[in-house]
Amino acid sequence: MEKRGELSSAQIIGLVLAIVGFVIVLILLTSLDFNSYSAEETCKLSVLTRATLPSNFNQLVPLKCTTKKICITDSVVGGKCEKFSGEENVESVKLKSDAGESAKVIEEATANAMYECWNMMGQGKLDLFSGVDKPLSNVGGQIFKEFGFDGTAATSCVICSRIAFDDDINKKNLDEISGKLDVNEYMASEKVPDGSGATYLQAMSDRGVNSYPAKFKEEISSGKSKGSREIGIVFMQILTEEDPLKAFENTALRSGAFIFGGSAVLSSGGSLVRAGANSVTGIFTNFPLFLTKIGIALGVGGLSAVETYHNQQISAGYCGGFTSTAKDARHGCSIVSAVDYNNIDAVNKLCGTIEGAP
Amino acid sequence: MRNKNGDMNINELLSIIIAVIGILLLIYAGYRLYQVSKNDEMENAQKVLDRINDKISSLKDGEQSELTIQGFNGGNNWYLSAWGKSDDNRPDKCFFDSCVCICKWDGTGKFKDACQTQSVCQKVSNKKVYTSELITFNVAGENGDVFIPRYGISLGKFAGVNVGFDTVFDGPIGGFNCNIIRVGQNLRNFKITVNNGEINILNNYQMRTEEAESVIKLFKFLSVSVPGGGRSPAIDERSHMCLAKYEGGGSVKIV
Repeated sequence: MEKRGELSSAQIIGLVLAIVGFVIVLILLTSLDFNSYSAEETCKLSVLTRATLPSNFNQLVPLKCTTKKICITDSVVGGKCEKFSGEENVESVKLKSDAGESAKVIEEATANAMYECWNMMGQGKLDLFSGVDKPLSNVGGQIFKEFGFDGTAATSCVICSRIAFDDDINKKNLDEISGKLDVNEYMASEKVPDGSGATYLQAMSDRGVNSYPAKFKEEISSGKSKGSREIGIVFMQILTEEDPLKAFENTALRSGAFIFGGSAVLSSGGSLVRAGANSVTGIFTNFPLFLTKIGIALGVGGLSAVETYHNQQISAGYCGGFTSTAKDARHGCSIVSAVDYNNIDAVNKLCGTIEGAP
Repeated sequence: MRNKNGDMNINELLSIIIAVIGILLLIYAGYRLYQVSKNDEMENAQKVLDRINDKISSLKDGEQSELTIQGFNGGNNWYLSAWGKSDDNRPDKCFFDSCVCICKWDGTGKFKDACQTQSVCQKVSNKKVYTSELITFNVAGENGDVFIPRYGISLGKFAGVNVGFDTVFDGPIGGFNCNIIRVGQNLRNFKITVNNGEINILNNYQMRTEEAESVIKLFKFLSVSVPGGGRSPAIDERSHMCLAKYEGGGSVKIV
C-alpha cells in the first residue's frame, strides 16, 4: 500500500530519466562552442547552415569565414610579412634553400589555399548569397561581360586566403624562385592532400580532366601577366539569368581560355551542350570548368616577385544550378581565383560585395 | 489532481518542475543559436580599425604607407571616417582629440549621431591621415588633423569605391596630394583644368553646371571611381569624389 505523498517507482524512474535527459541536452548545448572550432570548420559550418536554410532566412546567418593569412618567408626563425602587420593568426610557410624546392613550396601553398577555399565553400554548388539579387549597392561582376554575362549581375565574394611574401626575402633568390613557379602545372600533376588520389585539377573538376588541353595551355602562356607580391584567394559567386553554359558558349568557342569538365562538350554543330542530353530541354547544365580569363581580365598572373609573370593563373569554377532549399533553385557560376590583393579596382570588378571577416 | 485542500499533488509538482527546466533549456538553446548566427560586424569593424591603427603607429615622421582594407559581412552599412581635432562635427566620443571611426549608418538620420552610438573609434594624435579614393592613406607626423572621408568608405566592398570627403583642404601635403572635391555644392567651388597630365584645380571658383558635368566626365575618363557603384554621378549627399590619384601619371595640384 502506497502512503500519501510517497513517490511511486514509476515517478522516480520518470524523474531520473528527465534529469538525465536534461543533463545530456545541457552538455550538448554547452559544447556548441564555436570558439573551439578551427576557422575552417566554423566557416564550413556557417556555409552549410546558410545553404540549408530557406532562402528567406539564410542571409540572417553570416558567413563566419575569416581570411587566412599565409606568409611566405625564408627566415629560419619567425619571419614576418609586413602586409600582415597587426594581423592575428598568421601562418608561416618556410622556403627551402633550393630555388626549385622553394617554388614547389609556394605552388603547394597556393594550390592548397585554392582547394581549401573551394571545399569550404561547398565546391561552388551551394546557393550561398541567395539574399543578394542585384541590389544597387551590389553591382559588381563587370568582369563577366567578357563571358557574355550581364555586366550588372550581382556578385558576392569571400576572401578565403591572403598569401604574401616576407619583405626580407632576398630579392635575387625570389626572382630565381619566381622563374620556376608554375602553380597551374602543379595543380595538374600533384595530388590533393586528402588522400583521394586525385590531382588538384581533377578534384576541382572531375576525374575526366587529366591535363590541360593544348589550346588552353597556349592561352595560359600567352603573353606575360602581372605578378603580385600579395595575392588573395577569392571565392566568387554570380547569379545568371540564363543557363550559364549558353552565356559562356560564344566566348568559349572563340577562345581556348576554358576547360569544361564533366559533360559540357562541343556538339557536332559547334555549340556547347551537355553530353548525352538535349540542349534544348531547358534543364540547366551543371559543369565544372577551368578558365584563364579571370587572370587575363584582372591583369594578375599570380604570386610573383617579378613584375611580369610567365603565365596566367587559372581559376577553377562550377556553373549550373545551385543546391538550395528554395523551390526554384537558382543558377549561376562560382569561381575560385587568385587575384592581386592590393589591386582594389580589380577586386571590386570581380566582387560586388564582400562577405566573411577580414 | 488537487486534494481537498487545493494543494498540488506530487505529479503536478513534477510536471511543473520539468516544464520550468524545459523552458530554461529552450531559452538557453535559443541564446546559443543566437550566438552562432549573430553578426560579428562590430568585431570586424574593430579588426579593420586595429589594422589602421597598427599601420599609423608603425610609421615614423614623414613616412607614408598604403593599406588595403577588406570588406566584411554587413559592411555596406559601415563607413570609415575621421575628424580633425578642430572639427566641431566629430562625435562626442572623440572628446578633444582627432579620431578615426568606423560607424554603422543606414543612411537615415545624422551620420554624427550614428557615429556616437554605433561605432568603433580610435584617437589619433600627432599624425595626419589622408586617403585617396582607393582607400590608401598617408600619415605624416605633423599636427593633430585627420583627413579621411566623412561618410566615405563603405566597408561592404573591397577597399571602398564609395568614397566621400567632407573636408576640403589645401595641398600639397606630406608628399602625397589628395585634393578633394565633393560632388554637389562644393564641386562648384573649383575649376579644374588638365595640362600635360597634370590636373589643376582653381579654388573658390564658381563652376557652372555644364562645367561641373564636364568635370564628372573627365573623372570618368581618368578612371576615378564614380560614387554609387557605377550609377550616374548624380548629386547625392553621399556621393563624393577625391582626386587623389591620377593613374595616368602626374599629380593633382591646386593652383
